[in-house]
Amino acid sequence: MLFALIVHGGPSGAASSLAALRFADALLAGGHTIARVFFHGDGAAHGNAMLITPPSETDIPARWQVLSQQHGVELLACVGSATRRGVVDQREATRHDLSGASLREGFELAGLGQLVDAALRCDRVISFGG
Amino acid sequence: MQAGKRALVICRASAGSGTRAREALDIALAFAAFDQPVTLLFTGDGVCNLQAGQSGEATRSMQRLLGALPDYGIRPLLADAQAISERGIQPAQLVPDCELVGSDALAELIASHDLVFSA
Repeated sequence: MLFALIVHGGPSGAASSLAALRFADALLAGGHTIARVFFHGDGAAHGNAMLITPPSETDIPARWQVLSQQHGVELLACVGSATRRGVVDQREATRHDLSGASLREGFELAGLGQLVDAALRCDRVISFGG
Repeated sequence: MQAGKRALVICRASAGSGTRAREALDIALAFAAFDQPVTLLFTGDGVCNLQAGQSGEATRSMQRLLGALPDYGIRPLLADAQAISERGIQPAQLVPDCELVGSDALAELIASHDLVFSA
């Protein structure tokens, strides 16, 4: 079955963030396909390359990166949510005259049209947080 | 793009509490922009957004956005009647195009949609 996941909760301490990651692991282990993970609202902070996770906690954004690399899962952060939270790619950094990009490798910024597309195309859309 | 899925967006936050309310409406607007049928339900503190004539930067911005929703085909704005009542808001105080939904109808409303987003 083809799944899309939407993560509304932030990467720092929100139970929904870890739940989404564990759910994604379970889906892939069960032979399902994840077309896209869309990080919306506070969830867009998963794409922040400057975010440092204390050693005693799970580095959730890093886990998403690994999952994406191993299984080809697209990680999209809502561009509106991301830029509000200081997460910008090089294009946005240039456009807003900022000193540099802050988007984590493996993530891309995307408009909500990509969420709509995933919602219409996938068999199941599962939201976490929000 | 595949069509035929009805989306319900549930707004549970007030504009004054942060960006969640605005970001919920953005999801509804995205579906409307792609000509997809979308229903917008306000519940919990989200019903506070529907009270007309509020001041404050975030709430004024929200009121402008609410006023534009009919232009995108998003109407009526559904409001959880119990949440309205619990917050002491009178139906007469609501912005135009609101329609109250009783608690007994909420489950059916959610079940009647293919996609449900809560923010």
